This record gives sequence, C-alpha cells and structure tokens, in this order.
Amino acid sequence: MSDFGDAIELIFQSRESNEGVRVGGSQFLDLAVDHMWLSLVATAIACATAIPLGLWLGHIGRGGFLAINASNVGRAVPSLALIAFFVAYLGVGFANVTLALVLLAVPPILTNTYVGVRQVDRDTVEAARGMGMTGPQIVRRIEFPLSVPLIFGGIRTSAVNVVATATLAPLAGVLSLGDPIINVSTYGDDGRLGAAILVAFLAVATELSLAAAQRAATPKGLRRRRTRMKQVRYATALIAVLLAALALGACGDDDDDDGGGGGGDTAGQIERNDANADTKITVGSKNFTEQKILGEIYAQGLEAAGFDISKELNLGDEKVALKAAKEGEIDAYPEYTGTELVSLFGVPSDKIPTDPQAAYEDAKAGFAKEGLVAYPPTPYTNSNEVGMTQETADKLGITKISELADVDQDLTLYGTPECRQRMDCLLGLEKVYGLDFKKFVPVAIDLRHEVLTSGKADLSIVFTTDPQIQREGFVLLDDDKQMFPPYNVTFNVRQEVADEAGPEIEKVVEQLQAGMTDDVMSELNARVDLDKKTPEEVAKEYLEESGLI
Amino acid sequence: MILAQVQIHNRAGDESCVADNGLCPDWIWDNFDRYVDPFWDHVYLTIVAVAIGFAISFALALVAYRRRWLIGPIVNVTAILYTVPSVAAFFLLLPVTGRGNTTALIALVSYTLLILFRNTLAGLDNVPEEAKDAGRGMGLTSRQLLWRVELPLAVPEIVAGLRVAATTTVGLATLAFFAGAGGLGEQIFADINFKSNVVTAGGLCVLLAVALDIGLLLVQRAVTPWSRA
Repeated sequence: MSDFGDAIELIFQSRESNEGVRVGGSQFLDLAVDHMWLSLVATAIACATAIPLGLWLGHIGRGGFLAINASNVGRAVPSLALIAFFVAYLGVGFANVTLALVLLAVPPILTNTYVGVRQVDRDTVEAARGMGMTGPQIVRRIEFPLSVPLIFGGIRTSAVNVVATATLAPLAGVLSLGDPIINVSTYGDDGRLGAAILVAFLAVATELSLAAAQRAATPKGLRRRRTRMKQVRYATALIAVLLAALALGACGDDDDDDGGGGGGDTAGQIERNDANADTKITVGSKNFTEQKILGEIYAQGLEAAGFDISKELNLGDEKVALKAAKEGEIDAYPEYTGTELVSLFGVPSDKIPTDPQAAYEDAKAGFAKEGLVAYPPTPYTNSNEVGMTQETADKLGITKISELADVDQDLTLYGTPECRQRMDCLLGLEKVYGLDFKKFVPVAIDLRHEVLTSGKADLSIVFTTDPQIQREGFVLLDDDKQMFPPYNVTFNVRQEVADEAGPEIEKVVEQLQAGMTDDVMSELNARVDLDKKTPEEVAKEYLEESGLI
Repeated sequence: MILAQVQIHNRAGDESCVADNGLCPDWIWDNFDRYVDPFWDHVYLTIVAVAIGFAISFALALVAYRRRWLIGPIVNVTAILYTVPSVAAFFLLLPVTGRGNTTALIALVSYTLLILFRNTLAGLDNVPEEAKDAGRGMGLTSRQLLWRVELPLAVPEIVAGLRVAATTTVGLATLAFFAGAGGLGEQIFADINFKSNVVTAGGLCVLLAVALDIGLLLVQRAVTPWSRA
C-alpha cells in the first residue's frame, strides 16, 4: 500500500477526477493560498483588537481576571462548536468564518500582551516616568518593546491554532485546504491525505516563521543565544517525523470480515426467523437525513426478521459508501438509481433512461459488476431540484430551468461539494442547459435550505422530498430538458451476504419499501429535520405506523 | 400488503421554535438523553488520552531530568506533534491505524505530550535548592529525594499542565468523530443548523472542561496540604 506516496505525488502533480475536474497540483496551491489568506486576515484582525486592549489593560493594571480567564475558557470552547455556532446564528460565508477564527485567536494574544506588560519591571516604568514620559510614551517606548517576546508568543499560539481550524472552513461554505479533507469524493483518498499533509506543513511553517520573526522583533538586550541551534534541531526533528510517517505508510493494513451460514423461510408480515440470526449484515448509509432514516428502516426491518444487524450510518457521500461496501466495511446500503448511474457508473446523462424501471435495470447491472445485488426500487423518487425562494422566482419571473439562460450570469448557485462535478448537478446544468452562473459555492449538505432563506444563494440544489420546500414555500424549477434521471431508492447488498441471507432478504426489503411514497418520505424527513426526532425513532414510527412490526 | 398508513402532517407556515432551528429550552430538556452517551464517549476519550499522555510525559520528564541532553530533542519532537492540526492528524493516521478509538486516542495523546512534559520538568527544576539540601542532609538517597521531596514540591506545576492538557483535549476530542470515535463532536455535526443542538453539545464540552479543571485543582489541594496556610 502506498497511500502516502500517492498523496505526495498528487500534491505536486494534478490529475483529472472522474468527471474531468482537475484536482491536486496547482489546484492544491490555490486552496493553500485561500487557506493562508483566511488565516492571515483572521490573525491580523485578532492582533489589531487584542494587542491594544491588552496593552491598555496592562498599563492601567486592571482587568487581569478578564485577560487571564478569557484564555482558559477560550481553550475549552471547541473550534468545531464555535464554527457550528456561527453557522447556526449568522449563516455561512467568509465574514462569519473569519469572525469565528478571530474569536479563537484573541484570547492567547490578549493574555500574553497583558502578562507581557505586567511583567515589565515597575522600576523601569518609574524611571521612565521620572524622565518625564507621558502614559502613552511609556506604553509605546517601554512597555510595548519589553513585552514583544510574550506578545509574539501569543500570536504564534493563535496563528497556528487558526491555520489548524481554518481546515473546518468548508463546513461553512469557505474554501480552504479542508475541502479535500471533508469532500473525499471529489478528491479521493489520496487527495484527502495530500491535503492533510499540506495542512500539517503549513502549520509547522507558520510556527517556524513566526518563531524567526519573534527573534527578529525581540529587543537585542532580551535575546537569548543558541537560537540558531534550536532551529536546526527543529528542522531535523520535522524531517525525522515525516520520514517516520512515510515509513509507517509503507506498511499496509488489511480488513477482515466474517459471516455465518444458513438461509431462512419467507413470511407474510415481517416475521422473525431465528435461522437468520447466523447472517450478519452491517447496514450503511450516506450522510443526510433521508439516507439515515432509510438506513434505520432497513436495519430495523431486517432485525425484526431476525438478522444479526449492526449499523454504520452517516458514512459520507455515495463514493465513500460504495467504497465501504466494496471493501466489506458495510454489507448493504440504500442508494438512488439516478445517483448510481450518473455518479457511480459514469453513464452520460443523455444515455440515462427516464423510465424508473429501465433505470433500475441499468443500475442493477452496474452494481452486479461491483459485486453487489440491487433489489427492486422504492415507489418514490427523490430527485435533485433547482430551488429558489418565491421572492426570487417572482423577481425573475421564470418557472423552467432553461429560462435561467438569460439571467444566469447574475445568479449564485449553492450545492454540495460533489455537485460541481456531477452530471445531475452543476456539470449537467452547464453542459445540458448551457448555463454559466456568476458563482458556484460548495456547502455542507445540511445547509441547502439555510442558504436560500438567509438570502445568500439565489439558487440551491435541493431534494424533492425535502419538507422545508413546503414549509418555506420554495419554488422548484421545471426540468424541461429532462436532465435529472429517476431517483428511486434501491437497497444494495454485497453478493456474498445476499447469497447467505437467501430470498428472504428481498422479501423483507419489498415489504419495507411498499409504503414509501413521496408524501410519506417527505413526512419522515419532516419528523427528523423539523420535529428534530432522531432517524432511529422515526424509522421505528414508520415500521409501527405501517403495521410492519 | 400495508394495512396501516403513515400519518401525514401539513407543516406549511408552521411556526415553531424547533422547526425554525431555534434555541428551545423545552426541546433541550425533553431530549437531553440523546446527549448522554456521546458525553460519556467524550469523557472517556479525554480522560484516557490525558492519562496515557501523562504516563508517557511523566516518564520522559523523569529521564530527561537526570539526562539534560534529552530535553532538546524531546521538546522539539513533541512541539511538532503539537503543531500538526488535529483534523490533519486524524487523517494522517487513518491509513495506518484505521477508523476508531485507537486513531483518535493516538492523535489526542500526541497533543498532550508537550504541555505535560514541559510542566513536569519545570516543576522539578523549580524545586528550591534549600529543600533538596535539607533532604540530602536527612540522609535521603537521590531516589528517595525525587519521590519524597522533588515530586511533591513539583505537584502544583504538574497539575497546572494537566489542567491545560485536559481542557485542550476536551476541545480537540470534538473532532474525534472524523476518525470514527464518536463523542460530542458527532452530535454537533449531526444537526449543525439546529441552535438547541449546537448549544447543548457545545455547552456540555465547556461544562466538561470546567469540571475537569476544578476537579484537578481539588486534587492538587488534597495532595499538597502544606501549601494551604
């Protein structure tokens, strides 16, 4: 296994992803520049606020409690929570992420500035005052220069922290080196690892360069010697760590899976068959509400039939899920026929059947090649849709996607990161409809409605069964060129497990799916997204209310 | 065939705190149980990581206390481990150690090393010469001196290091779900738009950090009775 080798190669040499988008190489450089720009802006703003405040508090000798404790409390607030909090209250965007990072960066700088000023020898200050210096002069010429080393220490801590945390920025719709880490499907495993290596390098480089700057800015009288030596040791240690990492990467790891034997009988309603207990099935799902609900429904339904079920829900996007199934990490997961054909099997959109049954047959054949059995699909379909607010629709006066052609240069489209390169998403809108938007912004899948209600997005890719559409009165544009394929759900099981489970599993899946209409799925999604029940509870309610258990 | 049917509710124009992703005390109160397991996962990750980190750093500090030339290399290596961003660390480890608690713990432990090593060593170094002389005068061997005089007097600084390490680890452990280790971070991420959810899970992190901080302070007071006037 040469994970690290591939990743490092990708950093220097770009390659084409499945649908022809370039990733790696100079594209990583662009992301790194975005990353460092975001970090620089946040750190600079934090310095501009925290240093004057710290100097002032230190000079008048008050507010020590605030300055010291701000730092302690600040450490305890997780950066993820901070970003989540800002997304929840202020929405996505550069300004909000910057603000979150500034809040993260202020406490160490404030504390160190305060402490730096307080530790200046009071005799020195008295001497300065005796020489007739005014308060501002003392701050500028005595207290500030003498506290520079500590202030820089604070800036170092903050800057490294900010560079590390900027990795999470793509969660809030801002591009950084976190993009390849969070959106594996676009970049692949090597992309994620490559970005992780780059982020690590940037953080270490930030630390080293600020350490050098700190030395340069320290008044001569305060400098210690043997710094040169230390730098050399630092570099040596860094190289040693990286070499060790590469050596470790060369060793492989292997996964194992096991299963029992035995088949089972068929039953009318979901009936327990104890013989099924020998068949272990790990049910997976992708990372959004409907998928988690589906995963729970299949898992709980099969469990009711007596199978030995474990769950690995919330895996990631379709490529992560398929990879997990192929590697045996999971045995089964639900997927949409359209997604299967477009994203997993690379069928060009003009070759995709508009008939759900024909789409299923094609998808089934595709899965067979990957070693998975796709059972017959659900009655409902959950398509990608181009959504906008009623207000935008009124203003533009359009109802069809093709009508966007006249106004596209003024519109911003938001979608999931993988949307960029999917034929049933941005790529298709560009190629099939010939649209060219002002901007495409990738955001986490959960934010697809928030970007519309907050007015950030003119258009957002939403799903047919999203309950928010009805609640917020969103307008869905008509797909007049029939670009979006059918998206009925198939439950896909690894061939070995399907053989082991026998025909009974197909019967249970059929029973579970019979009640899944558009309205029912929208209702189930509403119970999670709007009523905030857990997918587990809602799946149980579905089984009970449908009389399946 | 299906006998019963799922009940469909009409939610158009439905005004409710929960559906608006608001901050709803009632909801938090009613659904607090879903935070219990992730909270204990979080406690487990934090405590195990700090405990392992402390065991390693403590041993390293004792060795380096006698063999001073080791201090430089240990500080440099742990400083680099400390600098590598945690999200990156989880993904750098995934190809080697796979998904799960092990990966999360390795990353979390590596963050505690620098803080704990530096503080333990500083604590030992700051023991007053007079105290050591008095110990030697009473006929203590150097091992006895270490365990009976130097380490007890170093406790305040060691605990200060543990407090920083514990609060930092609570924050970092929110990212452990990237490595498949659960914790409160997974809960935050499960519905990042829902203010009640983010505030509850984030608030529990802060509470946990404060509780560990105070707990460690109490431990310090209990084991250093002489420091109380």
